[in-house]
Amino acid sequence: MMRATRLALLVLIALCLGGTGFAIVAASLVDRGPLREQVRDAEAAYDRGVALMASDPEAARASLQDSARQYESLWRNGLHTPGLAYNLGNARLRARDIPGAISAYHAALALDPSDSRAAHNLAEARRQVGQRVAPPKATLGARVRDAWWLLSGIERLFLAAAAWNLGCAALVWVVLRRRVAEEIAATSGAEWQRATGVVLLIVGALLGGTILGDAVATAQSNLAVTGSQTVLRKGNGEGFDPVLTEPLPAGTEFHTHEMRPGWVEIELGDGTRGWISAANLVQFKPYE
Amino acid sequence: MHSVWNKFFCMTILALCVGRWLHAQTVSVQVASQEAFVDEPVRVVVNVENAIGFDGPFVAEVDGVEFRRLPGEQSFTQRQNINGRVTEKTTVGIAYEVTPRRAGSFTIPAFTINFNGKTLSTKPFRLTAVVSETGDLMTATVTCDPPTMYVGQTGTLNLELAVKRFRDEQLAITLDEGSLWSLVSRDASSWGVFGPALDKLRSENRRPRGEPRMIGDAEYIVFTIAKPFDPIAAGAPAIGDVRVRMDYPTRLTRGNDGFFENRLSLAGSRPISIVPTITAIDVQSPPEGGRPASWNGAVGRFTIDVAAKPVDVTVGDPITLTLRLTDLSGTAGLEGLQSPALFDQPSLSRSFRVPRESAAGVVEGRAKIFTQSVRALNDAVNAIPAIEFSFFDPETGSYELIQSEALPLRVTPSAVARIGPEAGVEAPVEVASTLTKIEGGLLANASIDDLIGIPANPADIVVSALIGPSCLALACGIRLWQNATSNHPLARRRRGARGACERRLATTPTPDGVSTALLGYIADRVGAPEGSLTRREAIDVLAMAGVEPEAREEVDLLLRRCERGRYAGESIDTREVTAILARLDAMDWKDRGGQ
Repeated sequence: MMRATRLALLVLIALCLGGTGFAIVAASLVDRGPLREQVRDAEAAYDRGVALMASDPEAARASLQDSARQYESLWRNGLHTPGLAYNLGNARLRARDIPGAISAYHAALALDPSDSRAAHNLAEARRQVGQRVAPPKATLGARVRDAWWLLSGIERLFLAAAAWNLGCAALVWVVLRRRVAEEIAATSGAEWQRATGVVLLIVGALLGGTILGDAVATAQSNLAVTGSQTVLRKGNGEGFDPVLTEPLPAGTEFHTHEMRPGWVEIELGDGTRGWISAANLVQFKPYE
Repeated sequence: MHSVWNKFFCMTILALCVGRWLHAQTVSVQVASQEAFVDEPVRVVVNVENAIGFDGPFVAEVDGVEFRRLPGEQSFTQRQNINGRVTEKTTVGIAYEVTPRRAGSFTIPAFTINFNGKTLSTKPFRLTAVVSETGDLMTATVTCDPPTMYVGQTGTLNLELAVKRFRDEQLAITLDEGSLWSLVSRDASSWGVFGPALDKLRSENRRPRGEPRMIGDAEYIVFTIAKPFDPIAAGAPAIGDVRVRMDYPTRLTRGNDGFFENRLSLAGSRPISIVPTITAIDVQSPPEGGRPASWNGAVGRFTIDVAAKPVDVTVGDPITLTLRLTDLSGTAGLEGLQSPALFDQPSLSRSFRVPRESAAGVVEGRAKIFTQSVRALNDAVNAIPAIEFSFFDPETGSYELIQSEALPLRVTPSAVARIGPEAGVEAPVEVASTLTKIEGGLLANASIDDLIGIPANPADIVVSALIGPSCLALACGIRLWQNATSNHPLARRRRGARGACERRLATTPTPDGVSTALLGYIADRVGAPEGSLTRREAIDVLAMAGVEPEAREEVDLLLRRCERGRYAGESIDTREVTAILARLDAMDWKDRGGQ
């Protein structure tokens, strides 16, 4: 009986530890070949566009737009990675679609706030917006997210899985070893083993919570840009007076607030609020 | 004496407070006019005095009349201090638009408010509405010069009011332009965006230019009110609420008013009202196709001239660039024209330190002048490169890119003086050599692996997270099952403790036997050596196992009785022992790990 218990103990602990790697093993078994081919095509169109920029700007632009379309298709098919949003932003920016590029960089940074390349190219896109309005400031939630983005999302995911399953393994050890110990009349060390298990479970749950937090924050992001030059009005209609003497240039960033049919209330980075036509709103939301 | 002064003081304070705060609440109504045209709103203001926090106003519906409350409220407070007594009156004005939808005479009911449980009302008033039969007597149109414009251009918005020339056949008199304009009701009309232009004319004691024009077979006087038009958005311009009213003459008379003989006056007139129509005005945004990166909103046709001063400098010295943008089209909006973004011109920012901020310009005639300060970064610079400026030309419908001429520049290295080792030796000159990082530019794309990422399937993650808890649950199940079926001697003793006790009781029902059986039962339950427990130890063991105090007390009493019975011959009822056993057996004993 004691041997059977020991065997069960070893098997269950092995299963717990193996569970950490289950997602990795499952991910590695997915056939990514066709996806890789599509990405290569989009990349090739982008490289072709960049190469033609000096000699044939029109052909370059057409190629870059083709690259952007292919990236958008991948996105629509569910490939929501910060890298894809970043490359899409680059293709759009080189194709002179500044609002589209800014919104794609927003998506890249929503998925990975630590992506310094996306932040750099977003700054470049902002420089190309004619009349610059300060971009909206980061919210408190975004600053909290930045703190846990010292570790990337995937690192936190696997650490969470490891801590969770190790915690379970520790508690399995406590439960079954106690039985074995009873048989050999030795029970020392059970308390700290139990405490270790509980602490590991809490760590795993907290890290898992940050992953959920990322998903919620990304889905609820209300950053958007103007698609074309538009007048910021005091109300939701053409009959309302303008808020500013000049129209907002294409690519102006803002937070959206209330939506009404055909109109959306926005807040600029300097706190100015007003309404613009929803047709002028460009928003590239992850998970859409 | 003190009490008299105290009373006087209190009464004074009370009088001041009462004087300050106690005012009657009133509601009144102000009507702009009690005569109106059908479908033409009349402004009505409900004034509420000294009723802060009131509820309302409310007004009953009237058939054929539409009420619309205008947004916002006007509130003002009036304070008076007469001989130290402060009085205060707060008035809140709420504006309505009352629009009759058919001709007739209407009684507009009282506007009511609720305040502190009281209902206060205005007085009802009458409103008479007639249909405006303007016919061909007056037309009004809004035109734009030029009719097709781009955002960024300037033009003129004209309100053209054509009034049919009136001729009294009996007197054989035709009214001139000035007389016709005097019949236009300037105060009863709404002028929208043309109001300021009209006010300006009035302040200069002038009136709009009127010129005769034949429309069909009739002669009209066309009055034109013009205002500068600087569109900020594509689409039709917003002209606000424009509605023109006039008393069109039907008959003239000549009379004597005591001072002037044969003075001409109006013997009859009919009120007419008109809302202008906007003719095809097409304001467009410059197209996005072919838009250069350096375009910053300029629309027109421009030339660019750049001057630099000084042109002989040391590295780091400020050079003032003066950029002059001259509009040749005559339609460019120069007020909103922005300077070329020098920082974004790589040819300049590579060799010069250029401020990021755009310079504010000064308009001079049809030109706008900007000044910026730049500094050479090294002595290899020998010219201020050509500065690009792009604009949208509305005549050709395309974007144009122009450049200024490059300006020669002489830049000498900045020197650091050193004291030579020997007197009279010239100090060597050290040329500053630094690497300058070029800001901006796009970074490379993410790699394909970065782009594809790790396909974290949510189902896999859930399975991964459930494996651990499942194993834990299985371990607990194993543990419970083993507890139930264990062959360990201690476990066997524990499970068979009651049976053994009952067998002993059946064979030896004496007090000594009962005591032995009960102590044996306790020893079996906790895994203590057989026959090793005394009464006191047994009670302690029960306490450690978490057995309830009442049960322990019963066991202790029973064991004491057994001790007494052993010597005094007292008999023990085994049914009593069996009941205690059943109770102990039903209890959950703490596991003491085989101790």
